[in-house]
Order: sequence, then structure tokens, then C-alpha cells
Amino acid sequence: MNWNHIKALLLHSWYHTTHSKETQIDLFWFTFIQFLIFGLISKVISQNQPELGPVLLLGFLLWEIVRIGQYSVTVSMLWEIWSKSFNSLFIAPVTMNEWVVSQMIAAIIKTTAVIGSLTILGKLAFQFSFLQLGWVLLPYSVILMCFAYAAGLFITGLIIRYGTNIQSFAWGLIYVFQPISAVFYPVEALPVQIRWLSYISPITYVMESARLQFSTGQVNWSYIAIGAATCAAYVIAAWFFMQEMYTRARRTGEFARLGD
Amino acid sequence: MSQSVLEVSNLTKRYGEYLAVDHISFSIGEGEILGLLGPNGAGKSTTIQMLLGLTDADGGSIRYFGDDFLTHKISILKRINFASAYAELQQRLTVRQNLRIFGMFYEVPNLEKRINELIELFEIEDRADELFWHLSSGQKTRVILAKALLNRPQMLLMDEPTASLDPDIVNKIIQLIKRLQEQEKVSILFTSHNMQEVARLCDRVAFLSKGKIVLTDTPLELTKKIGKTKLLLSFEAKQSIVSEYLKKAGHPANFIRKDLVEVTLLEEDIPSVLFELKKLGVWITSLTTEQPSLEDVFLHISEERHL
Repeated sequence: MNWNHIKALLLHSWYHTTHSKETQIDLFWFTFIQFLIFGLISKVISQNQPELGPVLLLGFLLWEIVRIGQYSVTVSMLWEIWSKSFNSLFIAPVTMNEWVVSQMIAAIIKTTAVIGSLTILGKLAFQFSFLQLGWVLLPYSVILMCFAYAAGLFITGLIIRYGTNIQSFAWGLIYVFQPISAVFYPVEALPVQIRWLSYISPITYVMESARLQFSTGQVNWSYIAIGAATCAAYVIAAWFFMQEMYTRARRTGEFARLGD
Repeated sequence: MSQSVLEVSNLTKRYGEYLAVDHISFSIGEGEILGLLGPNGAGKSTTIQMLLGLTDADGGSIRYFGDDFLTHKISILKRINFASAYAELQQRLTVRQNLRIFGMFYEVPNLEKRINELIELFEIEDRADELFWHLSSGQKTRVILAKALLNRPQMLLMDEPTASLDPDIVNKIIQLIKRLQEQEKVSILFTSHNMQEVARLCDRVAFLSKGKIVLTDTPLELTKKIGKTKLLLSFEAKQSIVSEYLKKAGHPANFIRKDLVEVTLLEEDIPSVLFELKKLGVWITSLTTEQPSLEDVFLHISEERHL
């Protein structure tokens, strides 16, 4: 792992984000508009049930950590494919691991920028304090970001192997987890028969603990530990999956054809 | 030419049942330009992809500077580079930003100075701060060439580097390649569909057909061995006399007019043909010859391999 290469890839990501209106709209514009909508809905709901409004915004912001993190890792690869610059990039002395690590760092920066701005907006416009979670927000964010990496690596692996045929997974696949991860409602809201599904998603543990903390001030440490362990398993599995897809795509020639 | 900069031995690539590259071996010495030619589907692209590390070989070995490419990939990639008229850089970055990023990958010393030198060399000063996607294809090719020279490579792989360029720029690029070869001893693997360019640049040419190298030699020797001369004769005599003789002698002939024929034959057969025609009472009124070119060799090999 060469730090100079990672620095170059981060600069590349910065240049790209500042020039690409599409990325700016996907990362900032849509998120801000959706946050405003959620903020207004939470205001209306809070008129009758004051405890529900903040829970909605809490779920939104924690979910966005996953969405933006995964999007950043995956779509950066797609941009190289769309640009047909993929081959030029990988015939330079840059390894796939350096690429992935740099995109993970870029994802943290982008997510922090967006969530940080929304935190300020939430406080100013809706009197919602995301920082009320205190320093526990850090382990929550780490778990969610790591899950974003796992999803990003998995989808990157699919893109390396199957090309742009499955490119819409870069935006859509993560939403498979939203209904089962107790993002806006507790696990108990799900039908009994499918509740077990919630517990295979690390997001669930973070959401449940964060909601509990918001309403009672208590942190469910066992949930944080289970969430972290589950997430680590996802990251390891996704890393091996991506490496396997990369090896296979180089063997079948698909990797070289990604740049055509 | 001295030691091998690139040594390819028994390189093989199979896609399912299809053998794309079939046990090819060749080497390139320091400061040598090797042309890799062949019709579409001959295996050139797959070979280049393996030489760049984008595709894994199924068999054989690739050695650069004496080191195995598989085990020394990153250190080797720092010393080589690639240019193609079909390559692209990130569209949403400016020319200068793209060059800066690649310069950082290659850890080029005095990077900004080097970028400015190359921007000037390829006459893209006025486009340097434009986004790459705003450039014409010719301008993009020049930026790709600039990228390929950023790290002062010791080995360059060039896949049709001059396609889409204007003739004056092509001429400059060819002069530049010659200069790189002569002054900096850069070794080059060169592919092109422009046979004149290949003949002008390459020290040796390897013909690839159906995944195999079928011939390797200097352009001159190849044209001598395989290419046939075109003899254009105008004459005063009955067409049938000339036609029957040429048919009997086994020289393919094309009558452009009844007193003008184009004969395809080996250069050494010309005197005997003229002598025999004279003996038959054919009066030759004018005679021109067209020397065989690398293009003829290319066509000959392609036809021979039923492509």
C-alpha cells in the first residue's frame, strides 16, 4: 500500500467531485431536499406525538451514513468505467487495494461533509439535535460506515465481474436493507415471521440502540457489540468476494473490457 | 540492440474453447521498436492487455528488465507506459489535473515542470485547463501521449497511437518516437494499421495471425521474402500472345487495357519475363515497377491464413 498513490487517488476524487454536477446532486442536493421533506413531516407528526418526529430524523441521518458511504465507494468505480478511463488507471502502478482504500477514505470525508451540514440544518430549522447522541455517535457511525463499505465492496465486485449491466445496483441494492433494518420503526413493527431478517442487518442494532438512547438516555452496549461483530463479518465476506470477482474478471478478460 | 527489455515466452490465453493467444514468444531489445501486426481478432489486443497486467495469462511468462512481471508488477509498471488513440482519461478532470494525478502515481520528480514540458511538446497549452471531455479526439490522443511520457518510460507500448491525428501532428509524433528511441534508448512495442508508419518506425515486425506469431523479421526482409513487385507493361502485340505467355509462366496478370497489363511477380523474375516476351515478338513501349510494401505482406499473410 503506497500512501502517495492513495493521496493521488484522493486528489482525483476531490477534482472529480468538484467538477461533476451529477455527483454533487446525488450526494448533496437530493439529500438536502429529502432531509427538508423529512423535517417538515416530523414537524407535523410531532404536533400529536412529540417523540416520533425526532425519531424520524434520527433514522434518516443514520441511514444516510450508510447510503452516502456505499454510494461513494461504488459510484467512483462506475465513473471510471463511464469515462473509459478505467484501463488507463489500472495500467498505472496503482493496486486495486489502494483504489478501494482511497475510496473508503473519500467516503468518510463526503459523508462527514453531508451529515455535518444536515446536523446544522436540523438544529437550525427543526430544533433537532443529532449530537444529542454524544460520543456514542462515533461507534454508531463506525458500524454504519463499515456496513456501507461492505455493501460498496460487494457491489464493486459485481461491477468488476459483470460490468455496467448491473450498474443500477450502485444506487438501489442498499435499499434492500432499509425495510428490514428498523430505520424508521422498531423491529416489532415487522411481521413476526420476518423479524429474524432484521437481526442479520448490523444497521438494526445501531438504529434500535440510538432510538433507545434518544428516548431514555440509555445505550444498549450489547447491541453495539453485536452490530460491530456482524458488520465485521460482512466486511470480511465482502472483501473476499470483491477479490474473487477481481481475480475472475482478470482471468476472463472482463476486467480489461470494462474500459472499452 | 543489446539486452532484452521485454521478453515474452510461450504466452498463452484461452477464452473457453477459443485460443486467443497461442504460445507466442518474442523479445524487444533496448532502444528497439517492434511492430506487432495482424488483422482484427489476431490476438494483438489480448497480448497487450496481458503485457499491461489487465488480463492474466493462462500460460507462459512475461519478463521486463529481466524481472518477472507477475511478481514485480508495480515496480515494472513504474518504468513502462502505454499510449493508444483509443485510451481515455477521466473525462471530468482537466488535462492538467489528469496529468498531475498520473504523475503522482508514477512519483515523477518536479512534476509540475514535467507537465508543462509535455503540454508544450504536444502543443496543448490552450487546452491544458479544459475538462478532458471537451477535447477533440486528436487533442485527447495528444494528452494520452503526454501521459505516456510523464514517467520517462524505458518501455512504451503503443497501440495505434497516431490514429485520429492530423498528418502534420502524425509526422511530429513519429519524429518524437524516433528521437525517444535514438536519444533515450526507449524500447517500443508498436501496433498500427498504417503500414507506411510501421515500415518507417519499426526495426522488426512480428505478424500475428489467429493467436500465433507467423513471421518475424525486419520490414525490408519481409517485403523481400513475401511481397511481390507489380510490373506495369504497355506493349504493341496481340493481347492473346501476352496473356497466354503470362498464364503459362504462372504470373497473375490484370489487363487494364488491351495493350496495358499489370503483372504481379517476384522482382528477380522481371528480366526473364521481358526476355521471353521479346522472343515472342512483343514490343514493350513502356515499363514501370512498383516495389512491394509491408501492406502487401500484411494482405498476403491475411489471405494465406484465410482471414
